[in-house]
Amino acid sequence: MGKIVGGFVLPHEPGLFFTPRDAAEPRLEEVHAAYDKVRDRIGELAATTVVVVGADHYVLFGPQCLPNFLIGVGDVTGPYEKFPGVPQGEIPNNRELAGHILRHGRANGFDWAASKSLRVDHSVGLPARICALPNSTVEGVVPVYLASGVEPLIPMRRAYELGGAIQAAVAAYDDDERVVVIGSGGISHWVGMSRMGDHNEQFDRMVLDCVVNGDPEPLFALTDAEIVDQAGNGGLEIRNLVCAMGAMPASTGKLIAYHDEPDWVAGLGFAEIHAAA
Amino acid sequence: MSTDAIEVALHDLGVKREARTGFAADPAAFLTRYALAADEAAAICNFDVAALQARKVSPLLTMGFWMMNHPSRSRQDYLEQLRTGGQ
Repeated sequence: MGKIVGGFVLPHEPGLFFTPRDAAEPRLEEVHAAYDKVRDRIGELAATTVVVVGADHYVLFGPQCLPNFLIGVGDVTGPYEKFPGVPQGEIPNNRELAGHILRHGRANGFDWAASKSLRVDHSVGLPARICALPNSTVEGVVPVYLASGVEPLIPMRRAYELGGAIQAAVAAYDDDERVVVIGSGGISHWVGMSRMGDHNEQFDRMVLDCVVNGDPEPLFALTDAEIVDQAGNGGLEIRNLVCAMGAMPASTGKLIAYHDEPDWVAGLGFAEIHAAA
Repeated sequence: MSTDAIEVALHDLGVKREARTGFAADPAAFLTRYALAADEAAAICNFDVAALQARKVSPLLTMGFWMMNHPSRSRQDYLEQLRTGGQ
């Protein structure tokens, strides 16, 4: 029987990784330290598989086909963007578990789209490379993409329910997998919009409070228009965080770090979600 | 013709090298492969990202298009054009 042993929310701002770690100024080093914390906690949890829930940024999927939610069940490579010191080749997938999540979901009202060959972007690739794979216990990363960056968007509540579907599938798995779920997304950020560079710390901390308190209701109450107004189009990807919350319902957590600097595009929030005893 | 057709063109120009090469060589000729109205094609040729966003084109695509095709490939230039509407 599989078990979700922990969850995390974290940002995936690519600009953080264009500077080599050894050249990072102190504020950037603090952000890297938060990623290190997540990496180390995944190791302490002895996770064997990490599910990373990310957002396409209108690159992987085009207007011709925009999946509501997709799981990588085969070959996985990436990230396709080049970052100093970050490999771009194969990311080991737990194909058996990924396929099980797909089949279990489809049998229970969650019609996953599937990719047999997926070249991931930074939203999945960076957490996989930086936080998951450095741990010797982690044998595979399962990539999940939500329609959280490009319209038509997955409804917020559906993202939460999808997390529940992942949890149910893991619980129904025959092998003793120890699974961590990462919700990967910046909080307030205006990507490509005229307000690009703005942040909304109040909104960011409200979202993080919801994660830490295990309470998605304030996020369900937000309309997409309200999110864009308060947190930009990038704020829509809090769906990824909500999905991780749904995989660990009624679980509380702990803030790891929050950073909000003018040089960065997004409000950067890190938190751990503790598995219920 | 539609926002959707603009998004198809901009997505291609963001992710396909052969599209970028064709656009760089002859923007107007390249864009004839898409179902674009003349003013839509002109907005793309002129990197008028403000006009494109006014047509509800995704900002993810307008920024990607600029960063992969504009001679400056500068985010600062992109934001300046966006904020001033090219004025």
